[in-house]
Amino acid sequence: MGTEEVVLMKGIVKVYPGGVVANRGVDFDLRRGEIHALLGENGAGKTTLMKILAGCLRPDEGEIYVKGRKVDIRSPRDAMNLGIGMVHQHFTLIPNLTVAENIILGMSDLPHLLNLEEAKERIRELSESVGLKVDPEAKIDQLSAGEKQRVEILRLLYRNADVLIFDEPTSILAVPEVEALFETLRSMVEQGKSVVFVTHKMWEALSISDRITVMRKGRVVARVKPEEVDDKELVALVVGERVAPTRVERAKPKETAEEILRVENLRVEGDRGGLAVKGVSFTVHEGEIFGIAGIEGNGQKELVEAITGLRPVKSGRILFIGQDITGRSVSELIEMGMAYIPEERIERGVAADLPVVDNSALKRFWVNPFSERGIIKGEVLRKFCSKIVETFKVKCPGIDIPVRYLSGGNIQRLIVGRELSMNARLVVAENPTAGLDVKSTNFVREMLIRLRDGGAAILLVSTDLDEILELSDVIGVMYDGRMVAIRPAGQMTAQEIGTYMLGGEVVGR
Amino acid sequence: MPIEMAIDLMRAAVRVMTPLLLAGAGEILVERCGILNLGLEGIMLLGAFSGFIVTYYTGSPWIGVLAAILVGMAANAIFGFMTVSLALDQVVTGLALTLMASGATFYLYRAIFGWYTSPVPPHVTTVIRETPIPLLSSIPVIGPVLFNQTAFTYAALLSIPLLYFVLARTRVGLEITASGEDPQVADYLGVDVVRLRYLTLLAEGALGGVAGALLSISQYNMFLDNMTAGRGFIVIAMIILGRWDPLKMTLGTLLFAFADSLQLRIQASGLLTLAWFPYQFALMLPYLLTLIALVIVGRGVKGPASLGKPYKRLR
Amino acid sequence: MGDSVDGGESLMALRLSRVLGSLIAIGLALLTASLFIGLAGANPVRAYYYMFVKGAFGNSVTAVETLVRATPILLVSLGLAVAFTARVWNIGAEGQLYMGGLVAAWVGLSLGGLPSSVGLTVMLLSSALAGAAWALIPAVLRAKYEINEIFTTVIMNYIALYLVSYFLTGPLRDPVSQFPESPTLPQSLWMPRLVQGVRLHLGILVAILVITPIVHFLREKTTFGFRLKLVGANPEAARYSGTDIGSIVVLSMLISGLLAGLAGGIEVSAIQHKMRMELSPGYGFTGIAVALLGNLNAVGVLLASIFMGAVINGSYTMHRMAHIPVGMAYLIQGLVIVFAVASEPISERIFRKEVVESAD
Ligand SMILES: Nc1ncnc2c1ncn2[C@@H]1O[C@H](COP(=O)(O)OP(=O)(O)O)[C@@H](O)[C@H]1O
Ligand SMILES: [Mg+2]
Repeated sequence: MGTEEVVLMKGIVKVYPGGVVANRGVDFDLRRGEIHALLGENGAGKTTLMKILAGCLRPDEGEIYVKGRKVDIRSPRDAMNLGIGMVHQHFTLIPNLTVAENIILGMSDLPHLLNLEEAKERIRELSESVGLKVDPEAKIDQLSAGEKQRVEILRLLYRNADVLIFDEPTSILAVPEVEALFETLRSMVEQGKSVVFVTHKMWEALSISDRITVMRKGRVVARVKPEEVDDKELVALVVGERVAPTRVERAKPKETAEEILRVENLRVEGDRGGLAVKGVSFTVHEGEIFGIAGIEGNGQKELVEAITGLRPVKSGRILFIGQDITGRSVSELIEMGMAYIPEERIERGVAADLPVVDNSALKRFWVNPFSERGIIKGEVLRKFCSKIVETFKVKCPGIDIPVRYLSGGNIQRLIVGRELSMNARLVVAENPTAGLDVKSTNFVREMLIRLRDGGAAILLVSTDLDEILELSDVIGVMYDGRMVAIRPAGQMTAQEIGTYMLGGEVVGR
Repeated sequence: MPIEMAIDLMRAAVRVMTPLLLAGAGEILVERCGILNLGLEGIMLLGAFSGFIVTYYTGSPWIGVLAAILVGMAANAIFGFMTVSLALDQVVTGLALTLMASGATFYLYRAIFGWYTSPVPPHVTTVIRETPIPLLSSIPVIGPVLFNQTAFTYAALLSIPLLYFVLARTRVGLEITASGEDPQVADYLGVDVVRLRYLTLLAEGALGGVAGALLSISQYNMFLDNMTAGRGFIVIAMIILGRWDPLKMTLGTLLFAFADSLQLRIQASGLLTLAWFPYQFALMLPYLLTLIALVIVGRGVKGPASLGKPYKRLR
Repeated sequence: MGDSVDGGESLMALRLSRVLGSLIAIGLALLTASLFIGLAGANPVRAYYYMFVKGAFGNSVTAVETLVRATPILLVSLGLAVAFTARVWNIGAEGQLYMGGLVAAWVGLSLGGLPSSVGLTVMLLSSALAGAAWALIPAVLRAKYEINEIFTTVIMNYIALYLVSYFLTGPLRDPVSQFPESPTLPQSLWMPRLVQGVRLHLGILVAILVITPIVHFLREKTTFGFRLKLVGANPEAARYSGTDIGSIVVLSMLISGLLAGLAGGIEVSAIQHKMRMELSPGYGFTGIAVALLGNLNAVGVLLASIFMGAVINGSYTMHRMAHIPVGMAYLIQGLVIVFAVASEPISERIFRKEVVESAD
């Protein structure tokens, strides 16, 4: 393949309205027929840079050249017309439209009168020719995560994009699916297309790419070839001068640990009817982190919501410190000592328009000493909040300002601080570090371990396998609403867990 | 003769339904695009007022309708600026605009006509006449009911299948649906959500303006304070009942229109002399029926996923 | 960032930015309305002089009349502020007020013979309960069946008005009056006046000195108020932290109905001394504007009510002296609410500049 540059970005600067400088003069180039990995930890500015290229964001400074020509990309449509397409980190699909409708939506050369039959036919042909099978008439909400991603890729190909951007595409996939995706990517570059592969996982960058651009804190810190670096060098480049994450020493698990949570043959319905949790049983003890691995959408969310009282139980039982809590109200569970760090931080974890102080007391305000006979004690609340802000290093200009002025990482610190300050017997943590920078990630993990060592039981649900492996004492794997494997940590390899996550059987067990 | 009374009643119902259909078509358009416009009541009121005033002074109901269209579009442009460009709360903005329309028309009417000097309020004399459609209008029953109406009724009746077609079969319909479901995604895929929202709002402004004007210059021939009497809200309720489907919404508006025509007839007929049926209950009938319909079929209805949520494009 | 935890400066800044927003809204509304005054051939400065100085606060009589106007608005908008805080959109205060007035008159007329204080208490309590009962229907429909309260409350306004009209032309009609109105209440049920010669009645004091502080306390200091704000700001976070949304919806709606009904009862008892079709010139809707203009905060609502009371009261003087139609008050009301909503980005910007950015 030649070395012709299809994309050249020069001196890109992007400041978000809140004042966050996400890109501080970034240069980036993409050559025809290469897979170019854009590597960096969460918050490094990778997504921002690629959204600029795809026309979703406008840069504050900088120039972009596509195929040698200086361009001004004002909208996704402009990018599309230049042959640039992006598969975003989160699905950009409309759930209750069909695959075909999703694929043609927004195309600039669409006739005013839709010809869906023709589009379906073309999609069928295209999907055969590149080996990405999907039914163009299916509604998106009936598809699995892998299928949805295929729709996204087909959409780019349907639009004849030749610069394909993939933003963390493996985060929703299990190991074997990742292999298949890599195959697809390789076959696409063979056809002369060029690929940007955005990731925060080193091994992915090393195994798929022809070149790697490393970003840190909004800047490019290195351009390397995978064969020219080793893991250690790359780690140093990605995380910088900082010391690499330290593993926290953990206390030995107690021999006679009390059982905190017992789930018995639990069945829970999903949002669209039908069972999402299909008979799950497990126990979590004090001083234990029970990690649930699994690809997003295999019933973890519904399981967590049933345990925390947010979703009705269809059948089965949940016991918490020996009491049957099936069907109890959320407030009772909170009062019994159940903490919950939800995955949806802004949507569920905080009321963004309310001040920091109110949000810090979300789980406590109605109990003594925060209030008495229905009257809130403002001073107690403020002291409590100040303590959380200090202990958990929440950066905020004042505890009376609405939470929406805080950055994502600080909102998560506030939530974690709140949930861990309630002397909980059980902490349910759902992807507690997703989207956080390394510092915050380590902080949250340390806190969880410290709590565990203090005798709390922790139910950790994470789609990040590394996190599960690093933190758990016991690992369970969920697939299709079932707990397909439960084993003490160390008795399952990552490969085995990955196989279970896909519903496979591990031979020899 | 009962059959003639029935035909007359149905014909009146279709006429009363006309403004509801037009306003409803406009509101469906913006709601499918993700905007809840509670200013519709105000738009209709402004349309009723401007249509009346201009007709009163020019003597031409057509110019009056044109004025109502322009005023409706202008009002919705303000609504668009506040909710689309400034991303303000749609519920609050809509209510504010409705209150504003109510206050503005209340004042302007008095500013223009002063205090009543005669017991007969100012009214328009040149009304929009029926345009019977040749041949079709002579079909028994259906003819007089559907084909001996004003041009606006024909337009309203045609607008429903047209709207259905646009939403289901055209590119702009697909883009509207996508913007109402997930504006961020639609935007990322190349749909100009902001432009689309403004366009649908302008269309609604025009339709709502006409709808209001029909009340003042075609049905009552005069302007009365708050003469829309909640119809803007009722239309939106009917859209909810019809699950944002133009055809089902039509059934809902027909229910209201039928009840409204019926109560007028009850009042006009001698039934009123029967002491056991106070006219207030007749007047209440359309509202009561709408409420009952809401209770029966309006439970837990989910609209377009992003309906009412502000969307601010980040660029 | 070490000194990030402040002692409330940011809270002051936040409140100040909101107050500024409301003041800007009032200013813009008066400015816009002055165009219409000019079009009507009057001098806006003189007209506003008549409205606010002569008409609204010119002497003790007019100032009291301003308070007379402000009182029903205050009661209605305090209730609406409670509901709106939880984002429960009660548009039915007008109907609730009318039901309160109707029941007050009915109870008052059938009480007879009771001592004044007992009779008044019973009458006003029943008016409040009537308003609450009328609000209960949409509240339950929303809480139980997720039927949007906006439409049900709007519809119930009309049903209430026709119901009142029926009673005033039928069962409750004064047989000797030629208008649709109830007979006059016995004098013992007239709200006592505190000063001879002006309409400064007890209800005004109760509304300002008792009910306003109660609502303020309820909203700012109690767990119920906390839950109100929580449900309004993010229902999902409310559910997550153990608040039963349905009960907050019902309670907030009941409180707003209660106060609207009470406003109707007080108008009947203190002002009209009977139930009439013209009990309210749209106080239920003015309350919406006032609640928003007052930023849903009891103190703000009190000030906004007095402002609107002044505008309405002053509009009569403006009419007499400058020949501006009395509808001017409603034009200003409409403009104020639009600008109040539109001023939000301005307060936001002020606050951001003052606190968030200066902290970095
Ligand atoms: N919409 C946004 N508004 C404000 N800040 C943002 C927004 N999106 C991202 N950021 C911030 O910009 C920085 C870079 O983010 P991003 O480009 O998503 O990084 P990456 O993709 O490398 O994880 C982060 O600090 C992030 O918090
Ligand atoms: Mg990213």
